[in-house]
Amino acid sequence: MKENKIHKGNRTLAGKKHNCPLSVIMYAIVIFLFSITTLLIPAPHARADIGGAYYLYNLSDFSGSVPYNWAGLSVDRGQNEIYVVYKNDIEVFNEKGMKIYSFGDDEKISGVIYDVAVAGDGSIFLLLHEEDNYSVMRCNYRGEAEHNIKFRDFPAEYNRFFPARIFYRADKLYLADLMVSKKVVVTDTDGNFREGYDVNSLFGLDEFENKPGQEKDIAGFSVDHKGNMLFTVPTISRAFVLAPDRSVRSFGESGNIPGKFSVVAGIAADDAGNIYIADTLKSVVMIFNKDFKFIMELGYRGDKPENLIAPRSMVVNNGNLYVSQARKRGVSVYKIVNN
Amino acid sequence: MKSFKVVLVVMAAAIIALGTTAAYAFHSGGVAECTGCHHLHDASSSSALLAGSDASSTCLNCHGASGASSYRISTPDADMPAGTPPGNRTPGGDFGWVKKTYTWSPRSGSTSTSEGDRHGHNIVAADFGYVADGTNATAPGGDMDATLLGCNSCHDNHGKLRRLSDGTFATTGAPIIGSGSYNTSADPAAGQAVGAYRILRGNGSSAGDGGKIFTANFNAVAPSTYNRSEATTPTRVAYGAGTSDWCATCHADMHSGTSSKMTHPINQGLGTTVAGNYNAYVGSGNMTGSAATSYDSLIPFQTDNTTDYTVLKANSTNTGSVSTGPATSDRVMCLSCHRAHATGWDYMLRTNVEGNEFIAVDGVWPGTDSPSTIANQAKYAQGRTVAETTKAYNDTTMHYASYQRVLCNKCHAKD
Repeated sequence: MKENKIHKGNRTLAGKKHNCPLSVIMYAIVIFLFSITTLLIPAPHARADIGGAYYLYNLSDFSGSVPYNWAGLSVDRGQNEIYVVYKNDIEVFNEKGMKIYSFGDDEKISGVIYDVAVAGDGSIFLLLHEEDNYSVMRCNYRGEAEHNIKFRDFPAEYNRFFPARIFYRADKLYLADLMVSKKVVVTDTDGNFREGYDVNSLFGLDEFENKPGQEKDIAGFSVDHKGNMLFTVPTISRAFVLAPDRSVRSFGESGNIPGKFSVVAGIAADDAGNIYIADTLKSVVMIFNKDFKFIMELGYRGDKPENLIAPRSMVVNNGNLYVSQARKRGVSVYKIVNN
Repeated sequence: MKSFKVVLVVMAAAIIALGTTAAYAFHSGGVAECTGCHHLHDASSSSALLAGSDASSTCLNCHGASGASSYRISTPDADMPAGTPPGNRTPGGDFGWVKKTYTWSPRSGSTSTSEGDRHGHNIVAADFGYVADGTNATAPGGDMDATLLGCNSCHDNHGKLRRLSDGTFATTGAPIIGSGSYNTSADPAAGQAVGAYRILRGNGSSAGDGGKIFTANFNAVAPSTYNRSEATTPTRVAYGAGTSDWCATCHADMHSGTSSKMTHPINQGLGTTVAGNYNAYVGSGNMTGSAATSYDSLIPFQTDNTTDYTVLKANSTNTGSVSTGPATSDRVMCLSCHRAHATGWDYMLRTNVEGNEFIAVDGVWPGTDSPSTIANQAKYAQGRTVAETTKAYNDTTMHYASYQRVLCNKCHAKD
């Protein structure tokens, strides 16, 4: 309804001849009042910033959609390039979704590439696992290995730390151990310890009922542009937002109606603070506003290009949503439409 | 009208209760949350309104996620590039091994292959790239259609089978209070029950995919932490009565009790000679071991024919606190040699038996990338990296002889 009013208003303005100063003033007042009204009216779900989304394409090379299964995703926000982590290769796609580069076979890169982060200066950080050890290799913008980051000054409580994700934000590296210690370490790009977060304690995960065999693994992790860390814990159907000041907010309820969590996985946020959560079982991506109000969901299991099958990792960049999924359906790209 | 109001109040209470329910372990020994697997109005599969393309794909949405964790039994493709093993080390093994095919040239001009298909049960899970066995049209030793094999052929996804307080199994009779799989599981009091081990099907269960009806119950107890490296201490699952008869449901012609063929004895007491060998065996050429410390999780055995869960719980540990080997009455079972899901070796064996007499050379597990110029030879490495060989042994430290022959010798001591 609101959208129609805007269109009408625009058409009215466009059709008028602005030859009278009084008329101009009146229209200015109308526009001012309209703007104020728009800002002050509480936005119900359908009237939040995001108005919809539509499928664009799948990440592709010259032979078509690349048939990844649950690939890992990262983004170079400076170049608007998407990095796909898959079977020890990093494949880079431009904003149009075409593969433009790949790397990962450098002999200096030892171990399995688990995740990748790209810094503002083009430096690439590879999180590597080799047996029960991890390392971070700094590469140049071509993906050529330069040197292993030497991590320093980790407090003793972070000795048992085995990160599965790496993020770069504002000259900092975020390393997240989602399974073993459930801790996040923030370092500078030289590996010097800056901050540590005991997620288990901060989220009170131990306070949730524990039964033999139950794990409270963290499935999704990302860092938004403000340094807020986002997590999903599927076994308790919750999503958490951890601010740099260590304050915690959380939301989510189990269920399979729109907006509820079945088996949640990847989580990401756009620059407006909207939160995107992949639900592997429901085969949707749910979108919530920054106040955790449900806006919409997209995908749904099916064979059509716009459908999703068991979505998992996600990144949001420049108005596009990238979703990796199962059944060799690769990475689907959606355009997010704002009201 | 009054009754209608009462119904509304009850429904509202139920909705409120469901909405504020604390988190639980998903299965808790019995049926899980319905909407975790079924979608009532927008299901993907016409079969039972499942949320996945098929039953096993629905299971793997949780159990096939990235990272080793207790309930994970399948490593995603993305995490296991060439040379990298699947990551889970559960007693049943990681289904990811069935996607690992190895080829090597043991000698000039010849090629050997260890097909992924041969590494485990080839469950069909379309969303996760698991397809039917390419070789066997039916279950080996049986007639079950291989294209129908799924997780729920063996596991009762609804977990109806329960162990009652008197030790009997039934599909009803008392509510299931929790899992019955672990050494930390509660014992059911009168009027209570716990779930069957691993919510496996058993006597009284309905048939799952493939249509097989089980007449045996699988008695076992696992330590509560079991998806773990065995480098320091073994993960000791205590197996009890029924394990082999249970497997025979689909593989009858491979079970010595039901086959007319010459086949390895199964579900029989080890006897003095075999138990003695097991207890004395340390490695090739070394028979100095003792019964107190001889347990080896690569060659487990069944505790007599017991259904006593006090005994099974006492034997189940991951701390190394119980290292005793078998008594003469303890039994050889299918799982003495095989894992239930998949392994890094042909025929889903726990150890490498095919292709070479040695499983370790030059004091180490072999691998194509081994620094040992002996252990990296193709005939020993068999296409696997050291990481893959090591993981195939659940990270067990190579503690046998420097030139260790196949582990059939743990019981038979021919080396």
